[in-house]
Amino acid sequence: MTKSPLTATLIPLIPLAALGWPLAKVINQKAYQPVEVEDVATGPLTTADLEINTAHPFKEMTVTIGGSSWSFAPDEDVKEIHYERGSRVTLLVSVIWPEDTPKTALRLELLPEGIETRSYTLWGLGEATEEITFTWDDQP
Amino acid sequence: MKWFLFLFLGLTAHGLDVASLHPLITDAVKQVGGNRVSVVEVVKPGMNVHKFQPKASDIKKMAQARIIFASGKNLEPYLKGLKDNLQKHQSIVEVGRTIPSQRISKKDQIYACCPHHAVGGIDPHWWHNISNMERAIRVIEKELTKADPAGNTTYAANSKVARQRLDQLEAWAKGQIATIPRGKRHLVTAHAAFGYFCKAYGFKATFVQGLSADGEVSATQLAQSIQELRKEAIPMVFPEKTANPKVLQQIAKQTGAKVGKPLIADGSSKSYQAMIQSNVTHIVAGLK
Repeated sequence: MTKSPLTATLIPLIPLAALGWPLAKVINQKAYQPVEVEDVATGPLTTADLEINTAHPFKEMTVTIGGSSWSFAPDEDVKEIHYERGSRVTLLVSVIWPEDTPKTALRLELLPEGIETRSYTLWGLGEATEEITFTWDDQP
Repeated sequence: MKWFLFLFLGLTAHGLDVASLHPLITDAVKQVGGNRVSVVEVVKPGMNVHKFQPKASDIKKMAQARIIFASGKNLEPYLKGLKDNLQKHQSIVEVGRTIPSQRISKKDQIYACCPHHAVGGIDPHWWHNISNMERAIRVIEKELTKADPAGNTTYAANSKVARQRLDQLEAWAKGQIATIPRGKRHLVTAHAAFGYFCKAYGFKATFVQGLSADGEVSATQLAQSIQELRKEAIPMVFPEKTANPKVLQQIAKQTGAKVGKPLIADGSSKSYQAMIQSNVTHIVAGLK
């Protein structure tokens, strides 16, 4: 049986079409389209963990930020605190150690939600009061 | 009545019932929860965390869980749908939500692990920085305490031990990395999955396996990667354990770079410590 001229022309084109399809997939790739993702919620207040590590146990310890104060018990090593959102925060830290405690260190670590951790080591003999400011370059 | 109340609260006779959608989170929850917590491992080690989609049977498995722990940062894009299927006493906690995000730069977005998980340019692989895992432990401790206040002392003590172990792990990792000459701290991986690791431990990061919207490598991107590697004279490229290494091998062959031992990128490992030790050991052996 003789093939029609149309069939005879189309048959050799089938392998070409089969090769062309994946080629077209490579050429016509859509540009990468990212969509927005919800990051840590923003609001007027920052929530943070304030963690402390001590070389010697203290008797009393208070941290004040603006109008809010948090007291730590000697067996407490972390507290959740809230303060006004911003690119800097100032903590007023007051510590009293028991009598006969040698010169000692207290490490504070502030871990705000979604923001890099900042830390500071405070030294004192008997008692210490210090103002500590933490800053972040990339925060509002 | 008492039994019903326990069940309602997710506090069964064997403790607090929770579920986990990521193997590394399972490991962390087990460490913090100890014997008080029973964890349903929905996504088990070895499963592809990027491609996982919960089936009806998974939702059924989670039915008793009071808390469902997820990694967050959009690693689990199905969470919104899952929330709709939860009962009133259940909640989802995205452990990574409050951990500082690292964004994949606009130019590197095509190198994301897969198109879906680079959405918004946030890198979801936060666990490659050990300090971030310490934060995650804190989050887990807080959530378990909220759900089971009577376990407060146990969770606090376990959390402290877990964080101390992480401190030791980080000290070990830093010590190992210090043996690589500074100029050679250049980590070349297939996808942009090690951004947190590179930033935390002082590596320059280069990614070579770009993606299209379909998740495939385009010929143009392949050519660009080969050119980049040649230009930088990269000695070694690292494949990822769960990813197909063929394209990376092809790139390495054409540039003269060696292929290192595979790294665990997506955290699909039974133990966090084992994952970090494996990754650091392979990187140090390859670059030293």
